[in-house]
Amino acid sequence: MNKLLIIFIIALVFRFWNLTSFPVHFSMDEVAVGVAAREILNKGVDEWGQHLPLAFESVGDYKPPVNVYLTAISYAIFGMSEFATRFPVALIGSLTALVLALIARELKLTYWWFAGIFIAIVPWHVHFSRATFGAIIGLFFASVGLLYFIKWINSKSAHRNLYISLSALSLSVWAYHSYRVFIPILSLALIYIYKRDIVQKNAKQYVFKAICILAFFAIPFIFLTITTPAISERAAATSFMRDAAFTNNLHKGNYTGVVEYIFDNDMYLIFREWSGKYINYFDPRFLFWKGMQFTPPNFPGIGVMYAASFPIMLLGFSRMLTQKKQTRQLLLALLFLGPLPATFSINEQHPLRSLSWILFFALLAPIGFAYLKKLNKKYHILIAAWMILLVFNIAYFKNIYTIQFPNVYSAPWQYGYEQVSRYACQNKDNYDQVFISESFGADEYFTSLPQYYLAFYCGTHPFDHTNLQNKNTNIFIKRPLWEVDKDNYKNALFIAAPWDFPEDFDTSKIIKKLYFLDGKESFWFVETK
Amino acid sequence: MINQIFTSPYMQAVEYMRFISGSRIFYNKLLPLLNAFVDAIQFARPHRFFYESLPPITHTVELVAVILFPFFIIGCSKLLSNINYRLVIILMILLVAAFIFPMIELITTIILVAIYYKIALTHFPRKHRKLLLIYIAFIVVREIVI
Repeated sequence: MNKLLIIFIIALVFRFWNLTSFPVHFSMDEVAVGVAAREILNKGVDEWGQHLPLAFESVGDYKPPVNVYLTAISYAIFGMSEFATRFPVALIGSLTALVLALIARELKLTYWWFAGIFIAIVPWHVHFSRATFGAIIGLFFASVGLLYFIKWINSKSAHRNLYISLSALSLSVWAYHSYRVFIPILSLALIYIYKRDIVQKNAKQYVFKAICILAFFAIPFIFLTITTPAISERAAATSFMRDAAFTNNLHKGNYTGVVEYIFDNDMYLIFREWSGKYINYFDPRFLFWKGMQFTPPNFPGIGVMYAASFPIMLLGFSRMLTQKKQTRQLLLALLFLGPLPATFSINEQHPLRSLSWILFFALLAPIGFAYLKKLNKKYHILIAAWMILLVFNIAYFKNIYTIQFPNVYSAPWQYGYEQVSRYACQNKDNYDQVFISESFGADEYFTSLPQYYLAFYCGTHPFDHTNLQNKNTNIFIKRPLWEVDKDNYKNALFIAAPWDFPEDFDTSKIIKKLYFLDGKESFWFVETK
Repeated sequence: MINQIFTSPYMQAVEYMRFISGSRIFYNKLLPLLNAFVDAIQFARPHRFFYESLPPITHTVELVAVILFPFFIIGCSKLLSNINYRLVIILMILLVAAFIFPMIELITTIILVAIYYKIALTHFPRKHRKLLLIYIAFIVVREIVI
């Protein structure tokens, strides 16, 4: 069978198997994307009333537009559902495996198909493909851009490839925040690496069209940056400069003397903070043992890649510098630039923001596999042993992903709000008011956006539920103040965390309880009557 | 060391996961041993030698290291391409030994620092070495005056 078809089928299996069951619950981001997509599809405006926006305002955040519009198309085909919401990213994630295989083929790597297999099964990409993460779309367009750029370099005059490349790279910037950093730097690296090939091409034939394409994508972006907080707000919200523990050490212009000004200035301190974050990504434990954060610290987990990938990556790494000059330079660029966007953000070792790094590892995999075959005459035995290890590792990943991860982290994934929303909508006529709390959690305190879950599962508008005076609905977002509310609302239903009710609470008023997957109580349904 | 592994908080977490998944052999025996092995390798992670404060060397190392880090990575790749089994075996023995016997951690650290920086400096471009020296001087002076 065609190798590309096999890669695609494997990628589809890893992404579409029980798609709506794992991750265990719809996250806040997913419902927010779903609601915005539905509003766009039905009315042409988002939930804030903006006509076909280029940045979707959410609560305290702006979402890049590509994911929302793709979800709207998915709704047009399948109707609004959890599957239809997760479908576009899962499909694009599967296609990314094909694109990476094609890049490896274009770079003339012997076992090019191995890059596709790597992406098809690697936990780093599989998980984020299953949960509507825009980073997957960004990576797909970045990969397409890279593929067509190399195709353009390899062709004599097919400038169509350059136009596709520029369009895809630009779309990548529109698809996810971290590509706003990664793509410009990668583009400069590509120009440097392939400068001789670029110079040899007849510039008159393509420069004007290329500038037009760039302008088409860049001008709205610049306009958005200048006129709205959509771009700057996100950068400010995630920057490591928000870390109070670090910023408190900065002098902010108040130096005690020349020595401090020269040897301990803020530029130096910022550089030191950033460099620590950068080097921290080159951590074998993050890569092969614990990086996906599916389990709490100290618990056995899984790296962004399988532990079984380690020997292949090590072999690939050892042969990286023996590749042709431009391939070698491209690999080095992807190696050092890949984690860069993530290093500017506040979190340490963030697998989602560093997803662009996966390009390097995907291209390293076929090099490592080729070297594994060369290492020994009895390479069949080596490969068979490695395959057994990999299968075992995949089984372990399945266990972690489908049993341990949901069990431990059902609360951060907002587990319960779907049932809460459905119950509230089905039973709202039995009460004068239904109140749902936005605060929940058993061991930790979480805040959610129940109005978006209500909008998603009940087909309402999210802001209908945030105004207690609204006559269109009787379901509202409000934490219980039991001592006051029990008298103020004579026929109401409160849905909230157990700790939101007094300690001496009359438990006979509880008509239903929900539980997190670790068995702890998540929500009580309490009647006032 | 084995007793330490099997009574650690990690092992308690393993026991919990075994209870959930029901996989006794893997979660009870294999996974803790693998984790111990990863801990041993973790001892040599670049972040430790190129950024974190090391007791014997202090954080003087850290900024020199950031500049040298890419050349260390490139140097490692070159070293691996002519696989020097003896060096790899010595390193692995040192790492495992440092993990088992904390008293030799200091010696192992110094040996690893020497190896790491030798690799990085070897692959640093010759024509920019003056700049590197100026930079190192800056960091050393900084350590003295701050």
